[in-house]
Amino acid sequence: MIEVINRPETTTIIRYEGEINAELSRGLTLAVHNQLTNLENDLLIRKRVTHLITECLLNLTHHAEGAPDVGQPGKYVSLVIEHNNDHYSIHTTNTVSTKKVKFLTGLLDKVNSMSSSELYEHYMNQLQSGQYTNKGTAGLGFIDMARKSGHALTYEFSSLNVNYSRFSFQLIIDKVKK
Amino acid sequence: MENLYIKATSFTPAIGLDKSGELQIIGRSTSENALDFYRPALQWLREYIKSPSTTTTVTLKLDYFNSSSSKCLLDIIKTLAKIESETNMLVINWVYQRYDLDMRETGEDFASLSRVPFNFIENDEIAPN
Repeated sequence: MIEVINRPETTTIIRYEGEINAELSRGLTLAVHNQLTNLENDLLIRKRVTHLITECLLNLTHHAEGAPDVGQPGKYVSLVIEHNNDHYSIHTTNTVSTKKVKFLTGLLDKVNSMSSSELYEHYMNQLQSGQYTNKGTAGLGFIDMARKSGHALTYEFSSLNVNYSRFSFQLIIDKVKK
Repeated sequence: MENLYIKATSFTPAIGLDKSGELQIIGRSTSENALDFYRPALQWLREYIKSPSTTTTVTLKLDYFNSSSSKCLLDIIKTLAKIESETNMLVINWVYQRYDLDMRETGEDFASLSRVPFNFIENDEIAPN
């Protein structure tokens, strides 16, 4: 269920918990876009936030997995988008195979360790020669997120069982342009 | 070869590929399966560059595109870059909204990676679907 929250005292823009697929992803993107049109006057910030949400949803659609042996047969995810006076935050969770944890940790730690110029070079290298399929762009999305966010990509893995882990991910976007 | 026209949707751009050398990609590109979407266009272009028009003018006017689409778009530009020669000219127009510094920067990245000079054109009338 998509919950659109308009109460002025709350900082949550959208909260979604449920299965993800391409159609739902598009619906969520549209819902967020419409909310941001009312909330954010700065066109570049509005666009940047929408872009990053689109990237998060792309990752969820491509990489969220079902975990039938923990009672979760479908690709179950959560998405929470919040804001305060200083920034927007995007928080996602999804299930991944435990065998992917090491790879994802390496990818994210590498991105987080880079300076802005190193990140740019890495982005250009990946854009030029990185592999891509209909299942993703081998980390180009994370690099793009780090560049546009200007903050470290915050993440955590928690084990569900020997086969599956929960991946929690957070992205911060400042309301002041950098 | 026939011209190729693909109508825009709320998550894929309009594509117009005309044998006369007028090529356009306009709108929003946030499809989860960008490879599948752009495959017909890439196939058309690989055929086109074998015998291109004297002048090929490409207009890229995108509101949003995701990382999957960015790889495909760069592939399209790098395919077209093969046209450039003493007898054939390639013109790439990168159209963006004035406030959209991110889109301008992405165009500069594509120009650098493809080694093709772009014309950067501000236009505030890019209307998403």
